[in-house]
Order: sequence, then structure tokens, then C-alpha cells
Amino acid sequence: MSAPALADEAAEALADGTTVAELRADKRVRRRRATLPYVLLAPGIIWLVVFFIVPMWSIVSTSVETGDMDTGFVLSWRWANFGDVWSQWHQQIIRSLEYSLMCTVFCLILALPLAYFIAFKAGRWKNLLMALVVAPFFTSYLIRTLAWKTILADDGWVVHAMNTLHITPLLSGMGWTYSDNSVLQTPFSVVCGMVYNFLPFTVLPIYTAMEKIDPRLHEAGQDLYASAWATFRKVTFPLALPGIVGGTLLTFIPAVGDYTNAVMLGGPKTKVIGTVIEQQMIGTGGNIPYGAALSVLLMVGTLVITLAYIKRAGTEEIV
Amino acid sequence: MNDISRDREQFLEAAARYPEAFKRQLGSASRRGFLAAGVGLGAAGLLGACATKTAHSSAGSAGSGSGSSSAAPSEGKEGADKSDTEKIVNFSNWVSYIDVDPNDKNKRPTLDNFKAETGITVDYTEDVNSNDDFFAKIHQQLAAGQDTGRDLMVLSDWMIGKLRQMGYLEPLNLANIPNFKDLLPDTANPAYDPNRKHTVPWALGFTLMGVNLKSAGLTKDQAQQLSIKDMMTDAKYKGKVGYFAEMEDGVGFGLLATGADPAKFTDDQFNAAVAYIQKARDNNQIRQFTGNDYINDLTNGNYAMCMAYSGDIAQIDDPNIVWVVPTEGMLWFTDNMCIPAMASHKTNAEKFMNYMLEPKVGAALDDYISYIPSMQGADTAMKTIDPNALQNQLIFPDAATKAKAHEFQNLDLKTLDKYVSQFKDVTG
Repeated sequence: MSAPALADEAAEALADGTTVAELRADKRVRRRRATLPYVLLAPGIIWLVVFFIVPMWSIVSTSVETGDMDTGFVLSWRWANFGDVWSQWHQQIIRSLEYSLMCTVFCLILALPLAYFIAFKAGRWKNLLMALVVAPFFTSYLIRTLAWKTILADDGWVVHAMNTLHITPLLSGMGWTYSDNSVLQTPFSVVCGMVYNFLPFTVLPIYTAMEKIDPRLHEAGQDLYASAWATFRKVTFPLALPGIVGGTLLTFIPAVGDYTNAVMLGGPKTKVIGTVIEQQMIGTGGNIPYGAALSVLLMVGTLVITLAYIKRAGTEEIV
Repeated sequence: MNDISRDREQFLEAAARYPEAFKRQLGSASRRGFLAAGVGLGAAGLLGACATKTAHSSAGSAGSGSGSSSAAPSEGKEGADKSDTEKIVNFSNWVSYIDVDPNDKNKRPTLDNFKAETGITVDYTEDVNSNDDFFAKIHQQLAAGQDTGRDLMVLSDWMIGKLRQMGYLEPLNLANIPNFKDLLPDTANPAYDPNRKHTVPWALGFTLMGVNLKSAGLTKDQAQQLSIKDMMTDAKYKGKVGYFAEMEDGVGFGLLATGADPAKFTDDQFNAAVAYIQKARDNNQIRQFTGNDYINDLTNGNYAMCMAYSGDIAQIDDPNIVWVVPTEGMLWFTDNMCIPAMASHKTNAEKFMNYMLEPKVGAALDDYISYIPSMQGADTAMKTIDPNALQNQLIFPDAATKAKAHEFQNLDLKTLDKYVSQFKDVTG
């Protein structure tokens, strides 16, 4: 320590009557206190670096590489990769967004009454019903999706019933299926599979939000001569909104990247962007930078849509 | 930067001089690449990305000159052969392609007998669904000069040609395969692998049509009159047709339907065939493009008819499912056993190849899977195993049946890749 600094310290010590030694001990404590937050934060920061920043960097840097599988890929900052993949696969990107949007809407239509019923009308059956909503998770996702191939088989009773009720010609008239007596390997079967697989993700947050609503608010609505619909619109819905926004996001975001349903229940015309990415990354496409560029595009696209949605839905609690 | 290039130079030199130490060097090189990429504790996806990065330097460092840049195809690098200490052979094959004990589906007599004879266990995996998909699965490891974990695999003729030209197949040591001389003369020297330096046939067969009579609304006799054109254009079967996604099969049928010869066709004829298939797809005639996973959809009636491999249909024990030779003709294919570069049990794999070439073993296998044997004496052996099989056109086809089958033109690597990617635009 230099002489002037020592003098300063001594003067400081004299000023409030403590010894130099005490002052030094005090500084050490203060220094330790200053580093403590970083030590405590370290696990979180390491986690973030390892599982977020590094993979992010990896995927972004890979997306601007060039080369091929046999000679290797080199980082050449070729941003044109993004233009390439967009012009080649924008159809599949748009299709993925369409399917996941449809899936989210159908999930919401099914989940709202279901969650409402469980939260307010199920009484002592509440827990059992919630267990039933979650029960499918005990079986593998792939097996459940494959099961739909059996359920919707051309010779199965579901398709026979749909034929008898003239639903199949209606669907093919709308362009959701391709023939009058089958539904598999069409956009319809893909969206069906997605709705089935993602429904619990929509129901759970909505149920949690609704369950917290005080039933006396409903009674208050009735006391004030509000109709059942008005009570739902003015009381239940706004209070359940955070759950609705959460549930739709939990459905939409993974649905955009899902390709299991499209591969198993779809046909040549239902290829989604997840399949393209899989083929480019580890499959027959073999162009890893293109796969990475598509992943980045999809990520940014989903983020923009999500932010716009949250802004519009106006629930800051989510973000 | 200088450090890295100097490192690389030294590495290249060392690898060329001490091929034995190459594998260890490769290990440390990939670790270095790992750190250099600033990864540290990266996620699984990253590991994959790094593997391709190191692939670059290691493939070059081996001095093999593999890939499109070299003029003559090189041979697949040999891995350290652990056959003496590890009595095992890792075998990747297609589904429904081996005999199964009728009383216990987990037992495969051919493999069990091999173990009884040689003490070598065959670790059998049915993970080949299509040549393309399987190639994609192992391409990265092959390009990186790594062991794929497989010692033996069965792939079709054109894929053998591709792998051989890319230098990913190990040449066979015929000292371990004395039965090699018993190959039938017409299978001993195919264009995709001259003199079979790298392969031994597993089975030969036909690509034809499988028909679900009930779903198609046909009798067995009516079904025999079906053509590829019926399958691709008749509105009765709209949305109930399965079609192979693999270029050779798919385009082969397209060529037959448009009146071209799959064994000798021009670019224009290829384009016409692809357009023909594209049209059937756009009209929703084709329900799905498949690999070897078409059988369930055919048996449960989702397909009225589909492209099929002869033995698969013959193995289905159901009078409602029949095989049909389309009026335009059908395709020949040969599936071959081969050893990928860097395999760690090469000698064991060769012993297995030799075993499969014994007439009684080959005949028993083909009697079960209903494909065509490729070794001399299989017919004699079949007399004691199953005399009825001698009349089976799928196992011992006569001249008339053979006349309906077409070979597929042998293509150079560049044309093959072009055609494959062109057809992929149709299959999605």
C-alpha cells in the first residue's frame, strides 16, 4: 500500500475512533459481501450460458456456414442461407403456422368449457377429472400418436360413422381431406392429432386460473341482474385471461415445431417445417446450415407472433 | 490461426505416418475442436455440430482423398479389428428379412445356428427402413472417419454403388469367405460393385404390387390384370395407393408406366416419369410415400394397392393380400451385405457372410423370407428343406417370370444424386 493511501486510512480510522485493524476487517467483510451475489448467481448464470447462450450461438453460427457433409462445413457468414431456405421452404413454414394456429384455436374451444366445468361444476369429481386430463401423459407421445392411425383407419368404426353421418364428404368438400371415405394422411388428421396431443397444455393453465376465481363473484353478477353469458364475459373470462394466454402459448409454441403428427398422420401434402429441419439436420437433406437457418427463422417468427399476441392480450404478468 | 494450421499440418503428417495411432489422434483432435469452438459443456446438438467440423480435418488428414474431388473411388478405411477378442457382429438389416422361429418370435434360427457353429453372437437390429434414411443415419460418422457401431449392413444395389464410390465400404478379405466362389455367375459381377469386391448378396427379389383384394374390390383373378397405370390413375383407388419414396423403385415404376425401359433411359424419359408420378400425387391418388413401412397400411385396408417387395407380401399369411406383377412389368433388386469403414468386427462379419453363402443356410432363409437365393446348390438344398418352394416363382423364378423383371440403370454418383433430389421434390 502506498504511503498516501495508508495516511488516508489512518485519518479515516481516527475520525470515527476505530483502529486501523478494525477498519481493514470491515473492508474485507464488505468486499466479501460485494462478491457474494455473484457467487450465488453463478449456478444460474452457468446454466444460462451452457443451455441458452452457447446453443443459441451454435445454431446461429451454424446457420451461416457453407459446405457439405463430406468436406465439412465452415463458418463463412453466408447470410444468403436465410434467403435460400425461405424461397425453398416458405410453403412448409406457412403450413406449420397454419396447422399450429388451427390446433391452438380448436384446443381453446375444447379447453374453455372443459376447464370451466372442472373448476366450477365438477364438485368432488374435480381431482379425478384433472387426473384424467393428465392421464395420457403416462403413455409415450409416439404411441399415442400411432394409436390415432388405428382409430382413424379407413376400415375403423370412426370413419364408418363419419361416412354414415356424411361428415367425410363435407370434410373433403372443404379441402381438409382428399377422398370421401377416408381421413388419414390429410391435413384434417394431422390437426386432429395435434389437438389431441396438445389439449392438456391448454386445459391446465386455464383450469388453474379459473379455479382461483371466487364463486361469490358469480353470485354477485347474478345479484346485479347479469345474464349467465354476461357474467362469463365480464367476470370469468377476464379473470381467466392470464390462464388463457398461458395455455394458448403453451400450445402454439411447441405446435409450430411439432412434426410427429405430420409424419405419422399426414401424407405427401402435409409436410411441415419440422420435417424439413429434421431432414436437413440429421436426415436425407444433409445440409446442416440450412436446417439451422430454418430453425432460427422459425424461432424468430414464433417469437414475433408471441410478443404481438401478448401485447394485444394485455397480460404483462406472462412476460 | 498459425498455431491451428501448424497443428493441422503436424496432425496430417502424423496420421499419414502412423495409421495405427490415427484413432487416438482423432480422439484428441475432436476434443481440441470441441474446446476451440468455445463450447465447454455444450448440449447434444452442439456435439453433432462439432463432429461435422472435425470431420473436415480428419477426413482430409487420413489422406484418403475421399469424396467427390477424387477421380477414382478409394477404399473404406479399416478400423482396428477386435474380432479375436469380441465374438460379436453388429448387423443392421431391414424388417421381415430373416427367418423367425414360429414358436418363439424372439428366436432367429439362422443367427442361432451361426452362433452354435462359430461362437459368434449376431447383434441383429432391424433399423433399415429405406436406403436413403439409413445412409443419412450413418453419413456423418462415415464422413468423420468414425466407427458407425455396425459391422455388417444390408443395402440395395444402387446404394452400394454410392457408398463404394464415396469410399465408405471396406474391401472383403476372401480368405475368410471360401464360399464366395459358389456365387451364381449372374450375380458375381454387378455393375454397382465390380467383381463384388465389397459385397455378398443377402437376397434378390422383385419390386411389384401388393393388393388388398377387399379394399380394392377385386377378385384374385381380376387383380392379376392390374397395371401400374390403373394404380396411378383409376379414380376407384384414389387416396388408397402407397408408393415407394426411394428413387430407384419409384421412378422405375414411373418409367415402366410411361413406356420407358428402366435399364436404359434418357434424361427426358426420367423427367416424364417423374412428372407422371407428380401428377398422381397432385390428384391425391397417392396417399403416402413410404419406405419398408407399408405393410400395416396394406393389411388393414388403408391401401387398396401399393408398391411392394415380393417376399414381404408372400410372408403375409392372409388370402386377402396378394402380389401382382403389373402388366407393364416389374423391377429386379439385389440387397447386399457390406462392411462399413472403421467397422470393429470385420473378420466376424466376413465369417457370417461365408456362413450365409452355404446352400442349406441360404435356402432355409429364402424359404422363409421368399426371396431369391444367390448361391449355387440352393435348389438341391431346398429339396430337403421344402420341395414346394422349388415351384415358388418368388424364390426360384422361371424364365417367363424373369423376363417380366427389369434391372435399373447403373448411374454415376453425380447423376444419381441429381435424380434422387429431383424425385425427393415429388415425395416430400
